[in-house]
Formats: sequence, structure tokens, C-alpha cells
Amino acid sequence: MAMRIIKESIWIGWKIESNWTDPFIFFSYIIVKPLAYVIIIGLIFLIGSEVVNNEYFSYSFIGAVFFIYPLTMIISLGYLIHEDRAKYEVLKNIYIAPNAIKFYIIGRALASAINASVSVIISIVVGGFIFSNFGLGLDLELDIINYLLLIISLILGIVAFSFMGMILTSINLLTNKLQFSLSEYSSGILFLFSGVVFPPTMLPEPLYLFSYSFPTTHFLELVRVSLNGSFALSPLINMIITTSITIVISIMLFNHADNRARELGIIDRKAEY
Amino acid sequence: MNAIDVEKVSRVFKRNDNVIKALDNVTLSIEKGEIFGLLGANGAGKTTLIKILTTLLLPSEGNAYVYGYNVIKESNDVRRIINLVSGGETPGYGILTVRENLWFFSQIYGLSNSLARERIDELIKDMELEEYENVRMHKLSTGYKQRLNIARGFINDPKVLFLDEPTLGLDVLNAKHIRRYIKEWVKNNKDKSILLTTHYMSEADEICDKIAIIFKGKIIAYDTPKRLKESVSNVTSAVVEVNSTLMLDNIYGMPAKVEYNNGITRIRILLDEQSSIARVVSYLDSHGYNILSIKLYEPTLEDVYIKYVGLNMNDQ
Amino acid sequence: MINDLRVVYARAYVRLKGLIREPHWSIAEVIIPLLSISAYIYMYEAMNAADHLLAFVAIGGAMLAFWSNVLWGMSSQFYWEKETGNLTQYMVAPISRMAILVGMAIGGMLNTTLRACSIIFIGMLLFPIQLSLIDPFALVIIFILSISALYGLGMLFASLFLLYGREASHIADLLQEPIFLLSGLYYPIFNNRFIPDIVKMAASIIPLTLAIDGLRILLVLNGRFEDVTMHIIGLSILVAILLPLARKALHKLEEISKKEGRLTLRWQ
Repeated sequence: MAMRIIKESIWIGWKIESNWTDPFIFFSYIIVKPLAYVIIIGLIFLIGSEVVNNEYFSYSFIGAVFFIYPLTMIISLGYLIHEDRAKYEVLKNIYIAPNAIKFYIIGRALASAINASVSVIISIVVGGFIFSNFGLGLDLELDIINYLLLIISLILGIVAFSFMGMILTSINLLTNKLQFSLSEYSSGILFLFSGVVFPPTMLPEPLYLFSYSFPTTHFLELVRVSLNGSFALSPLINMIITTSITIVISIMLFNHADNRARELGIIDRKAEY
Repeated sequence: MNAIDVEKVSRVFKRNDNVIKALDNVTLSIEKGEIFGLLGANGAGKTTLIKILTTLLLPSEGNAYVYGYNVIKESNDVRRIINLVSGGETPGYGILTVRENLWFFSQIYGLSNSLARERIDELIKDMELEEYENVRMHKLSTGYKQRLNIARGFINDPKVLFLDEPTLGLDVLNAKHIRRYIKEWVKNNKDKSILLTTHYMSEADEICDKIAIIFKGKIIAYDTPKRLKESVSNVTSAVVEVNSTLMLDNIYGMPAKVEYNNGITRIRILLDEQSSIARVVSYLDSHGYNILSIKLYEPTLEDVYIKYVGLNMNDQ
Repeated sequence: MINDLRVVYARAYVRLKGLIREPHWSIAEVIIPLLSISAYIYMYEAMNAADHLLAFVAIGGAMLAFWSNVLWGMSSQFYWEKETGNLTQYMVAPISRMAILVGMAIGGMLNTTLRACSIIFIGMLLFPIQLSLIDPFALVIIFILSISALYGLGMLFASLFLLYGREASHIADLLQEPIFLLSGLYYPIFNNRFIPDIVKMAASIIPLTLAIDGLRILLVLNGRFEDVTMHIIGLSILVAILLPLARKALHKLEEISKKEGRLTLRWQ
């Protein structure tokens, strides 16, 4: 049952995210946007560095590229409730089906993870190629990658980001105007505090510690380690712990929001402009 | 000069390969001081006609005039003397209060601040919105939002007001309040007119001076409610209930409206003469249906509609 | 004319009320750009970049507030007005539709100027950012031309978004990052040897590019009027093109809507 809902939700998610336009524009969407974003990172490097430090470039570039996963998934789930409740008006129908809503959210998250994967691959290949012409080399050799760790990191990351997205859906279930700001706040905070384009140690002391509470920080660290062909236990353990905590918080929050939304009668609330 | 003159207006919509004739050679006039009802099912062409008269849409053929101004060539003159209220839509800004929204629309019509204040006070009182005048629009209930919408329609003191399903989705009390206000407004302002579209036959019967029934873009009946009802005075309206599901749309060629509810079929039928009820009874009896009740009524506008269109508008 | 001014004032009033009534919108529009500004400043700091680049990022971030407002507060606005039924009311009222757009633009400009200043101010508090001004006159000229060109583009987009429906807004969303890339939000565009001249020329047709660069010259690099002459000429040309185009697009919108009846259909 759960698998079927997830499968259907991935299909619906794919339809919703791809069906608004012709396939050419859709593929441009998942290619052009992320590519422009990683080129911005590269240009900052070229402008800001007296002498190019390839190790730091690799750090930021890989961070920026793999940050596309949480970015895409969180933004997608951040708008889900608003879209399904006010725009498509299907939320109540999904909601009243047995055990459907949580799996539906997970399914939608997985659909956006698929889109993110396409963006990540294209960004690495094209972005890496562009910057190699400017003397910015990626420390990336396909035959040394620790593929097992990379796959584990991606699985853990996708699970963690799905549940982080579910936290946003819980808040959106109880509010009706925050979908834009909540998604943008979340992605902005994660971009600043997850060691995406600079090491978290650059942050002032208390904030630096704060960054270690996010699964995104450990996810990016794990990805970097796996791409270097090495293995490190501590980011893996940290990732498992933060992901587990995220899952628990997310489910608790969602259950609370679910009850509260029913109490307030706002499951099928329409949009207000 | 009439408030509205529509002369042989047609409107065709082309969507991909489909050509839809929304209005077909419509001609009608609305006098000053008249509430004119346009009855029809969804897609019959009511809103298309309103859009043409309010300068939102050009006709494909024909001409239309509002207070003598041509809606195609003198659209800005038309706009100065009209307003439009559509049921189900709540124009305005959720973050503004009722009073602020009315002020906003008063500025759209160029009212001075003092005149705007005076008119807003009056409309808030008339629409019984005093308690909510400083409440933001997004906090209002549907009924009060629609009262605000109606008040907005009167903000520029229009000569012709277009009301497109103004009581759509409203409860009985709110709908009644709005109907009463509309009636009073025309009664007290003899040069004002209203063109009203509605699904509700009883609403049209209650407030309209003249009615047109529009079907598939054509006006098929056009007269006062009284005379329209007289046109079916030679018939009797009967409602027969039988205790099983009956699939039919006529009995002996007489148009019938059929409703099903909990295994009971309710048939509303127009009878040429009262005696023909016997034929209906014998028909149902011979087909093995158990008749639960039979009631005879004086014809209403609904019967007029059944006569001209053949089916109840909600069933189409 | 007086009636049109009333409309401009009334529409701007709605925007200004929004600032007071829904303060979380404004707070979000200050904090969200600050988050990415901070990340890029840390990134520059991590590579020991020159100090003026940090100030460049702050100005880019402040101008991002204008860009967001133009895109989501102006361009998409007619589309939302259609959803609520407001657009129908504007179309049946005896007013200049441009007055509505100008009112929206003025309200948006005032709100966003406040936000942009807050972004720069908070940025200066958090990071070692130094700004100085030696030619206020040039700054006023550049600023007025910049927002006129930006909001001219917003007015043009408002009609285009409505004409082409949701697809137009998705395309604008698609182009968001490429516009950030080309307008040099976080790095200089014109004084940048890594960007080909042809790309710099193409970038100049985006009002944001000339606006950001002009403001950086005046506020960070101690530039004077003569240092931004080309920016002033470029922005003036953009204003002269965009405002009449916006007017034309609006007329076209009304004409097509009246012919095809698309104005009052929702979610198309």
C-alpha cells in the first residue's frame, strides 16, 4: 500500500513539476538554473582569488552542486501544501485516503530528488568542463570515488531532506501565507550554515556549532569524502544521528500539525491574496 | 433612449479547432428603471453577453449600446456609467479593511475624498457592514465578502449595474438581503437599470421586471415574468413520486424533469390539460411503478423554462 | 489626469499598507537576501579576497531586493489580480490601465528602497563593509534611472505574463539564476577579464547590470558622475525603450483580451 502511494506520488510529482510546459523548457529548467548557479560560484572564485586554490575550489564547487539536492527538495515540498490545497484543491482528497498523506509527501520528495539528480550530473560535467578552461581543476577522478559511500550518502541525504521538507509541510498545513518565505528562509539558512561554499569554521563560534545540527552539513562532508575516494566514520555517524533526529522531529511535528489542522478545520482552506 | 440596446449580437470563440457560438443573433432592450433577468444554464451565453456590454469583450457581429453609447467605439463613455459585480469573485485586497477597499475602488472611479467618504458611509450602512467596516477583507465570511462586493458595485453610483450571479453560493439571509437592496435601489432611482443573470428562477421571479431565457446563445423567450407564466397557464405542473428508479425524460412526449433520491424518483411534468394526469398514472402503473404521491401546482418560471428549453437548466 | 493620479495613489496605498499590515513579508525580503549575501561574503573572506568585493556583494544583494520585487511584485501582479477578479474591475473602469501599473510600481519602489537600505545597513553592521559617497547627484541620477528602468521592465512583464499565462512566469523563474549570473550580483561584470566582451554587451540590456555596476562605482570605488556616464546613457536608453513598450504591451493585452475573451478566465 505504502509503496503504491509513494510510486503514484512520484508520478504525480513528476507530472506537476514537468507538465506545465513543453519538455524542452522543462529540461532547460532543471539544467539552466543549476548550471547558472554553479557558474556564479566559479566566477566568484576567479574574481576573488589572487592565486587559485584548487582544493578550496573543489570544496565549494562540490558543495554547491550537491546542495542542489536539499535545495530542490525543500523548495518543492515547501510549496506542496499551498499548491495542493489552494491551487489544485486536491489536498483534502489525498488527506482522507487511509495513510496516504505522509507517503504522498515522501513520494513528491522523491520526484524532486530525481530532478535534482539530473541537475547535479549536468552541473558537475558542464561546470567542471567550463572551469577547467580557466585553470580551476576539480579534484575528481572517477576511478578513485568511493561509490559505496557516495550511494549511502545520497540515500541518507534524500531521506533526511524528504523529512526536512515534511517539517515545512507541517508548518504550511497550519499557515497559509508562509509558503514562499518559509522555503526561501530554509534554503537560505541551509546555504549559509551547511558548509556549502565555505567551511563552517569560518562562522563565528556559536553559529559554527549550530551548523553541525543540520544533516546537510554532514551530507556534503560525506559526499566530499566519498568523491575523494576515502572513508570517514564520524561524518557518517553524524549524518545517521542528525537524519534520525530529523525523522523523529518531522513525524512528531507533522502529527501535531495534522491534528491541529483538523481542529481548526483548515485542511481545505483556499488561498487568500 | 433605452438603458441597454443589443442589436443582432453574435459572438464566436475559437479554441484550437473548436468553434463555439456563445451568442447567436441576440437582440434585446432594457428600459431605464428596469431590472432585467437573463436566465440560462452554464454556457448558455449569459456571461458572454455581460462581458460584451461591460466592454470586456468584443462581439463578433452586431452592435450594443449602453445609455446610447456604443460598447465597441465608445467604451470609455460606457465605463463611466456602469459597474459590474460577479458572484463568486471578491475583488479587492485581503490586507485592506472593508472601508479601505471601498475607498480604493472609489478612487478607481475618480471620486473626491469627501464624496467617497459620504458614499462609503451610506453603502456600509445599507449593506449592514458597520460591524465589519474596519475588518480586513480576508477575515470576512463569504456572505459578507459578497455584501462588500455588492457595495463596491454601487460605489460610482452607476446608471447600469451588471450583476452576474450575485447571490451565487450565498445563504438564504445574505441572498435575501442583497435581493431586497437591489430592488429598492431601482425603485428609488428611476433612471437606473440592472441586468442580472441568475440560475435561481425564484430570484428572477421575485425581482425582475423583464426576463429573457437564453439557450445555446439564443434568446428563446423574452417578456415579463407574469406574461411568461401566462404562456404556460394552459398547462398544469405536476410532481409525481414513484418508489423506484425511473429512467426517462418525457412521458407521452411531454417534457419532464426527473430527480432521483434514496430510491425515489421525483418527476416534474407539464400537463396540457389536467385530465392527462390520468394518462401519466396509467402509464406508470402499467409499467409496474408504485406511485407514492401526486401534487398539482400553478406554473412557475421553472415550468416556463421547462416548456421553452425542454429540461431543467440544472440538468443540462 | 487627476483621476489617473487618484488611481496611482490608491494603488500605491495598497502596497504601502501591505508593508505595515504584513511586516513578515518585508522582514523576509530583508533577511532572505542577507542569508545569501552572508554566504558569499564568507566565501570571499575564505579566499582572502579584496575588501571592496564584500561591499560589492552587499550592493548586489540590496539590488536583488528590487529585482525580486519587479519580478514577483510587478510582473506577476496582473496575473494575481486576474485570479481575485480585480483585473476585471480595472478593465471595466474608466481609467488608464497604466495608472494602475504606475501605482503598483511607486508603492513597490518605496517599500523596496526601505528594504534595500536595511540590507546594506545590516550588512555593514555584520561585515567589514565600507561605503563612501563623493557625488550624491550622480547617485540620485543613477538610482532614479535604475528603478525607472527596472520597474519599466516590470510593467512590460506584467502584461506579457498575463498574455502568456503561467508559462511566462515559469520562464522568468527559469531565467532567474542566468540573470543573477549576467547582472553580476556577487562580482563585477564589466571589470572582469573572465567574462567575454560579447557577454558583457548582452548583460548591459538587463537594467539590473548597469544599476548594480553604477552604484558600486559611486558607493564603493569613490566614482564621480563622469565615471558613470555610460551607465547613465545605457539606463536612459533602457527607460526610453521599456516604458513605451510597457504601454504598448498593455494596449495589446487589452485588445487581445477583448477579442479573445481571455481576461477573465482563471488558471490558464
